[in-house]
Amino acid sequence: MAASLMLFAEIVVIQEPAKAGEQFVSSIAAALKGAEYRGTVKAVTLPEKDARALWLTYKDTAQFTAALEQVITATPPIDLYPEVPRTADLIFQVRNLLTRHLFFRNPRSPLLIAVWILGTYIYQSFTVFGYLWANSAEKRSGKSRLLEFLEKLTSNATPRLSNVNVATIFRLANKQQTLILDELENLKGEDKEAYQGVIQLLNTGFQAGAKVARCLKVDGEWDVGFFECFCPKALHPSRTYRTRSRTDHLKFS
Amino acid sequence: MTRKSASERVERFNLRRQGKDLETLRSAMTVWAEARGKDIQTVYDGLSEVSELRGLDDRFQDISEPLVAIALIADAELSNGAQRIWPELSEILRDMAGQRSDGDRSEALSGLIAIAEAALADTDEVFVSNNELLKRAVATEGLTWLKSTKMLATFCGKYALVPRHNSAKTERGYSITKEWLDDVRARYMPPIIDFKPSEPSADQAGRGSESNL
Repeated sequence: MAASLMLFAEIVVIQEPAKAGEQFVSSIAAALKGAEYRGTVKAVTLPEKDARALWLTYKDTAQFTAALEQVITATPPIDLYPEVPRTADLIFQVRNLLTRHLFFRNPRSPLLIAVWILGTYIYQSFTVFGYLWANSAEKRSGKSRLLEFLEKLTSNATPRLSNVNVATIFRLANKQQTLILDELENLKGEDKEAYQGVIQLLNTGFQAGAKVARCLKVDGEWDVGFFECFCPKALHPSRTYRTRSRTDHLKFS
Repeated sequence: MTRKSASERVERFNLRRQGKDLETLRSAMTVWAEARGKDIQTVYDGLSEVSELRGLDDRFQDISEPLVAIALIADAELSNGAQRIWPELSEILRDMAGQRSDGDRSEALSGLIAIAEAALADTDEVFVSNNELLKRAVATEGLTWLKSTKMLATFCGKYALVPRHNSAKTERGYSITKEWLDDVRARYMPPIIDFKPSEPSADQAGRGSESNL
């Protein structure tokens, strides 16, 4: 497809709302980049849902074209070949951001977190990827704020999840998300069995290849499906978990 | 994490105002991952044993290696004289593992022994409170990494020195005895051999290579 687009000096992609639209634009951009396209690419969002809806609004070729051109002119082009930032610059930027807004007793902790955050973007290159354990012995120590930062900065992060079960974790891990697990100890009080399941899954989910088997109905027949549970996880675990897995995971207090 | 005291201040964070900066940073990291992912994987696959992490728990080394690979790439991209990532990261990883390298461990133990000797002076037993021992430790070379009484207890516990109450049960601390000190010296400190070169014997003299000179 990209080859046929190479003839054009400018390509405008109409981006539909929601995540599907973003993914469509990303796939087009990746294909054009792969084909080393050097023209201008724009992803426009129309004032109406799609081009058909815009046409129905005006029902006039001149007005429709003018509206379309107005949107295209106002849209900045996509940078297909952005400058690659230096690794250290990114690490220092994240570290400085954390240091500016959070208090750490150990001044080196933000550096470790910054490197871990970068790691979430490429965790699939590794055979193991440790969990970031935000531990606080006292309230109001900035733990929630740290999780908020992780939610915004890590790759494909979930919101802060405070009531998870095994199914939730492996389905999100299967989507290669960074899990931000908050207040795991609450689950222990509510559902001991579910809590044990989550702990078992966490004890294996830091290794590539760790999978959970589940029975699935495929075309009316039951079959066993395997779900990935390896993904980056940042957590504020319970005391029990802490003692059981002391050496198993990367931790930071 | 620890709650900051009233005098320790950090800038207030407002997601509404600063959300855009985070988004920009996130986009930059996405671009970085796409461009550098393969290089980092190559470094990661090529890591055999990281000398700075030698002696640490195997599992801990495993989970540290991804971070090591990123730090090594970061340092390789930097020009000479720029601030390096790996030296600082390796320090915190070793702190987290709760272990030090052999050299550090020996230095730390020497520090503890020096404190114990000074505390004991000419007595057979002395009680030093948790806070007092920590205060003395952080002022001693080789023990400056101790940040809390808990870390101190973990470290001392390796040498069978465990915190307990004093005889009046008013304070917790360490009962340091001469017996303990002698035992630690004998077990862990390398003996200092008083070395004197021997005189050459009359019948062997001149038979070595020096006779060819």
